[in-house]
Amino acid sequence: MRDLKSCSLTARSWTCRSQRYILESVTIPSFDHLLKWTSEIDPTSGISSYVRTITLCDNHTWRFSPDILARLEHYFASFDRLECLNLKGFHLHSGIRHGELIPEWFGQFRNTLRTLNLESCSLSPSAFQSILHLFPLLDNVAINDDCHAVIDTEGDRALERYHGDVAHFRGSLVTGINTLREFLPCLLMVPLQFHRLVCFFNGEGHQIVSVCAPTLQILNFEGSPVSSPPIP
Amino acid sequence: MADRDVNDIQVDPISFPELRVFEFWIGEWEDVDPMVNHYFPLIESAPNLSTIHIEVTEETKDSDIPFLRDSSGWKEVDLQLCRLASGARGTVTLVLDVVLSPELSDRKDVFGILAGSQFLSEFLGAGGLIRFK
Repeated sequence: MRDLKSCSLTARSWTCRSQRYILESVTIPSFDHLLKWTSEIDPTSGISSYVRTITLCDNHTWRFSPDILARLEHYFASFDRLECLNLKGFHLHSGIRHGELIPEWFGQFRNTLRTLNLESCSLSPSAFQSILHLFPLLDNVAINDDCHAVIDTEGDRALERYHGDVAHFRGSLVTGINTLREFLPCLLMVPLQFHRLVCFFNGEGHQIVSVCAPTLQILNFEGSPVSSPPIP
Repeated sequence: MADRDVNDIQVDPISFPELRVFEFWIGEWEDVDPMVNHYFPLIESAPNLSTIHIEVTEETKDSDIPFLRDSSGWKEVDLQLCRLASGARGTVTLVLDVVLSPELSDRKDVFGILAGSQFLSEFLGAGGLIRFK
């Protein structure tokens, strides 16, 4: 007797071929959706290998606890061809409970990730630097102007020397006017060899352009030159 | 850190050995000043430059056109564009991308100012090309 799975009134031959397109980009809008994904997708099925871009949205829904991490880390590891990570609404600083575990969550993508986009995130300079250091293949970084720096403790401000490979950060850097101002010191501590730079022209913009000038192929100034508002 | 006026930024000219595309946008016509005072002086040399892309945003209005015709800064913009074109090894294409809005009725008025006949001949002579979008 044939099982139910093999009985179908429509053709199924397209499903395998189409998965690489259907699953190329996945958005997980909340932590509950992540749990739903993990409850419905078998990490050994190979489905996650089709995902090249993942958008994770926090908005205070994520729980970075050690027991959940232990439960989910092999799901994260199953995204073994992930190239682009979009983080939306994440809060990555010492004020977040178990914030120190964040690298262990996203570090699962370290062997393949080339593009990181941060949108509407609050993060400490040290967390931003940790993320830059976390992915050895990282070439493209975007940090939009809805992101802002949070400093709860002196540790949030502490930056470390970069020890990674110098052959990356060769793609595109896109920054907003405030984010460049707040995170410039973190950026200046990694080997910047960007080919494309999108920034505003102000004191910090001038500085980052100067550093990237030897390798820049595309320079895009957003908006009019603007003065730096005072740091509160 | 004290507040700093953008006009106080000391622009140190930089060499861009690999730069191919230089892009920026202008909206209100006061943006001629940033071009003259900041953007162009920043580029000391760009031998591989092939495209200068200027987007004129929807902030531009018909009423800006007469003002622009009298803008003294525009001559300097022309000179700088010709400098970049003549300093490049190959042809530099100036792409003028004008976004129409309810307050800007005709792109041609803007093109006429950005690429008037005198500038056009000077820019072509310097090895440039102009493309309108």
